[in-house]
Amino acid sequence: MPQLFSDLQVSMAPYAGDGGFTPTIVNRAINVAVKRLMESEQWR
Amino acid sequence: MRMTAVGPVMPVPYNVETIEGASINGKPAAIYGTEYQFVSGGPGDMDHSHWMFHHSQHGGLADMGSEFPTMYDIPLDVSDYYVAAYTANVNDIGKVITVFGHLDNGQEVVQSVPLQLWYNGIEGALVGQAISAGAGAQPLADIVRVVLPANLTDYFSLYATSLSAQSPRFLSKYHPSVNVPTFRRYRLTNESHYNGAWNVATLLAQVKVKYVPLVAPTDVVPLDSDQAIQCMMQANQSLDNGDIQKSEMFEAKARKILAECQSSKQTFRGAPEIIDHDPVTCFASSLARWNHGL
Repeated sequence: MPQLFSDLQVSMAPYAGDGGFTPTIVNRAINVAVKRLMESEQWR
Repeated sequence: MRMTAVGPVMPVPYNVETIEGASINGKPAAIYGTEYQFVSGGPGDMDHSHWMFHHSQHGGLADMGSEFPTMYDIPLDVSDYYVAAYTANVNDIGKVITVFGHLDNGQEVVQSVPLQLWYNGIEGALVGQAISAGAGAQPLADIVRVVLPANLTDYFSLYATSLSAQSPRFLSKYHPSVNVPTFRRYRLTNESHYNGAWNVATLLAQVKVKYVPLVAPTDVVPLDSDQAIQCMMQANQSLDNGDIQKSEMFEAKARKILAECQSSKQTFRGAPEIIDHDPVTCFASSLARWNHGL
């Protein structure tokens, strides 16, 4: 079940890297991760 | 994804990468790559003679590439189309997009087009607004590039407006944080006869989703596994810290989770099995009767 970005921002904050608790850093970290996953050839 | 195409060229929206498979008007369609246009003597012969699609109105879809700055071109019916941009978000009014294009005489121009509000902020409404007010300085014949400002907050639409053609024509809808947007277009093969009106093609397509940045809190995350996203974030973090081995382990884990997610949603592999006999009564099911024309 796809979820909303706001839910993900809360749940992914601990994984955003050093001092990664500001919304901007969390946003960017999630977006980079999603981009890398989506650009893999296997996933459609 | 279901789409209806009128005319020979069809764009896909900003969040679609490619069409993987499609049926046109209920018939399976072939998907050709960009090389299709380089068939010696032109693609015309193949458009009409493919065994599978012989006598069918539409044959397949030929990829025209993904570097188009707008979904639709500026129409050619009149030569005074100005480019105008409309938003439904008051925070974006007056922000300026840059449009690179050509005038009717072939001269290259760069235009600044300020975003204006739809009538009462309602998407699609242009009641009582002078249609060319707030548009680019000169009428354009084509557009080669559109560049968005960095501080946009919401989606906006680009229209070609004209006083002589009366109704504004939709060109494209843009995601706010893709600064130089491009769209992929497909050509419907065998759509060559224009008798006053184009044939309408109804498409059912399986598409590969394109990455677009998540910006609004209400954006739907295209990946349905937050565990995979978590692992990939940890992989990126390890890579930043110079630990390549750890990064690769996390990345492999993320991709594995994603592959498992996807395979769990696949109900069968290969051809579907049709059970046409009721296993209890041994009579043919209604499906079999339908197939045999009874």
